[in-house]
Amino acid sequence: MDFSLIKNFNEKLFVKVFVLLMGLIFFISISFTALFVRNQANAETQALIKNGMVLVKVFADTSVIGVYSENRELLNKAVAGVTKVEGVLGVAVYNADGGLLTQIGRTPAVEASTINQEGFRPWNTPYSMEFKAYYVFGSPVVIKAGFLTDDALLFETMSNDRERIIGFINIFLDRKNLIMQVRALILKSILIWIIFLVIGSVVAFFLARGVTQPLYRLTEGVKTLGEAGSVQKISVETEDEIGRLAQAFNQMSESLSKRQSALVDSEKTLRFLSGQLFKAQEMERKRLSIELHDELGQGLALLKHRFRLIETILSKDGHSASGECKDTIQDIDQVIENVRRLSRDLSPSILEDLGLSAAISWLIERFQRRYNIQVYLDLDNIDFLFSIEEQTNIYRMFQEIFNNIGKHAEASLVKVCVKIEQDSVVFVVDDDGKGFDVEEAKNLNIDERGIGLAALDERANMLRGVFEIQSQVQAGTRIELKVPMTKAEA
Amino acid sequence: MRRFFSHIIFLFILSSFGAVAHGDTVVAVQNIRIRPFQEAMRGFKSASRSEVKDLVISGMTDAKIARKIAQLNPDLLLAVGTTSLSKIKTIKNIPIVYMMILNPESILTPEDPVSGVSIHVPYEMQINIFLKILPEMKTVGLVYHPDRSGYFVKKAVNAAKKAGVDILTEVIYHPKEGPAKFQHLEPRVDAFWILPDISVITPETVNFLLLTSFKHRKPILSFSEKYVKMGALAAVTMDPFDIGMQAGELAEQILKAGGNKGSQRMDARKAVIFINDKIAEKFGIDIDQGIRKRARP
Repeated sequence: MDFSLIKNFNEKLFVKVFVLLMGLIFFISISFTALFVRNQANAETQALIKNGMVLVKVFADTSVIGVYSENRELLNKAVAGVTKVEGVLGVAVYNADGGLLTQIGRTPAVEASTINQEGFRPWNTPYSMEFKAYYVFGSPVVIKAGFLTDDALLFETMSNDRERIIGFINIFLDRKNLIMQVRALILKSILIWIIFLVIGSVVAFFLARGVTQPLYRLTEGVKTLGEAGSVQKISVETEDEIGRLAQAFNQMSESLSKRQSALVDSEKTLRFLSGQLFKAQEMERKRLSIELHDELGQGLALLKHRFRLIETILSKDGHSASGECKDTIQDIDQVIENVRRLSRDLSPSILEDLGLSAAISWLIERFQRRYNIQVYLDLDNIDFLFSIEEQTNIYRMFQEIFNNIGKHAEASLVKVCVKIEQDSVVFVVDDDGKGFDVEEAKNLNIDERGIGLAALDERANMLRGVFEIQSQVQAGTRIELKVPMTKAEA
Repeated sequence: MRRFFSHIIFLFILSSFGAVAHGDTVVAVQNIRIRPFQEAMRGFKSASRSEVKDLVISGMTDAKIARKIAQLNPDLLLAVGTTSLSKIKTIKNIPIVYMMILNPESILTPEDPVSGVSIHVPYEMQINIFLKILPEMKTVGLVYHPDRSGYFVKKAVNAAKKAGVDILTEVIYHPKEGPAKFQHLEPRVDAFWILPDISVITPETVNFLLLTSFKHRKPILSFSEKYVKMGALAAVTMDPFDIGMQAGELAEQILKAGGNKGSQRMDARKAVIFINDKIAEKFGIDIDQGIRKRARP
């Protein structure tokens, strides 16, 4: 799982962009959340302290009479009001000398002992102290000094406004509520953070997709262009660098498409021309064959007949030249045989007379005789499955293959298999010769490799067939030709 | 020691100038200038034909006060307020008249040849007014410090008894005892009466008393307009202008008699009434129309 993630990260730009954006969103959101929680927690704490300070000041005011008179009954009335306030653990009231006047509720032992250890601290202004589980708020209880003389009571302007401290109070406020509030705040913040993260991930997904999708389309386009040679235009959705790249790609694709089209046209023309060339070649061969058979063959037959008459006359007269005539007649027979073979090679009349199967058999028989190589033939009847032109092409391909085996393969055994498979015929020729490097042979230029292989390819193309050569040096050669049938089997 | 010498010099200067003093010049000695004193001075000047010169002695040493008085060479010294009287009471060769003092007996001995008008409104007068405001009142609660107000309380109790009102008293020795004492009195009285006693009249005690008054609908009878404004039902107090007039008249008599009129010490002859109508309304007290008309707004 981890491996696939790393693999995806390494291979997919989308994953990289998405992870980067998510990292950014995560960092920003966690920073903001932490900052928010910290500020809010501080604000809550400050609010608690502020409330505590207000409470202690109010309590200092309300307890003035009780502290002033050091009357527990009066004091307890004021204290009771404070202890009802939420979060107040307890209250302690001291007189100006630090003597405890009253203590109600829970006044934690720790800070009570703290106060005791440090002695009574007469703070002049309200204060707050923070402990682990609670806050202590304190305030002096202050009164105005009042009047100095009885006379002054009658004259308002003679009052003494100087203040004096008559006691001190402590309020112990529980931090539990604050902790609960901060916890609730943290939970809320985490919830908001998760929602933000989810929304952020969706936004990041679409952003990453927005950035990488055009690149993927471009990649697919390049791939398709590489495989198929042409591709549909890629939509240009933006005007940024990617948009401009897509635009350039479309221009390049269009240009390549045009060139490809021109190339296909050229190829078609070339095929047509090569087809015409083969046809012209066949026609010329046929004409030559007929000329050889009809003119040269007839002439030689006539010449032979005349030499036979001369030899008959000379032998009756006992002329010694009759022996020479017999030798000449034998030479003329040899020439006639050569002319016939040449004529058949140029235009295999057997193909038209007996069909493709018989022509292949005859070709193999002649190959065996000529090169003294053993041939095993497994041949289905494939007559009437192809047009005469196709049959000629197949025959010519066999002729070229066997010619090559005879000349170059140094084979001792050749296996020929011709089988009908559904709507096509498969021709396979295997030899145990010295073989050759197919790629190397294909990469040779036309002068070095000759036209044999190129002609085989071209004829296979004309047959709309599949032609394949498998060969390795010292491992023989296997040639396979699969040709679709153009005529229904008779 | 230093104070002793300054007194000697002070008396020497006074006696040397006193020999040439004559008739109708009055030097009014004041420690501070406050509105009630100014009011009293106006009253004094309206009743006296003498020339009145002001001398504010705030911050002055005794010797300097003596020098100033010698320079002014008055026929009579008018001490306005307790502090002023304390500073000049030792002058023997110039007749002294005081005013705007609550308790001159706390400064003077009966033998001192000093005359004047206190700001004390006789209790008989006060009780009669209070009874007109609260005719049903039978018992009144009063808290006091015996050393400070014992003498007045005794007079007040007697005056009230004559008028058929019982005064229930509580004694305190420290101001902090005030609230508890008032709290203790509350169930037994129809009203509270507060006297000018700084042991009792502290902001805290007054606040507590006001709260108790509101809570239990027990009206407070006071000595100053200030407390009426704060929530007391009524106050009976002196009139500074009339006090001044009273003192002016007294000064004229003394000057006519050549300064030998002995010591004539009197209380305020006129009372000013203040009533808090809102409190009266809240407490359901129907105030006598005659009193209401006399009361200052």
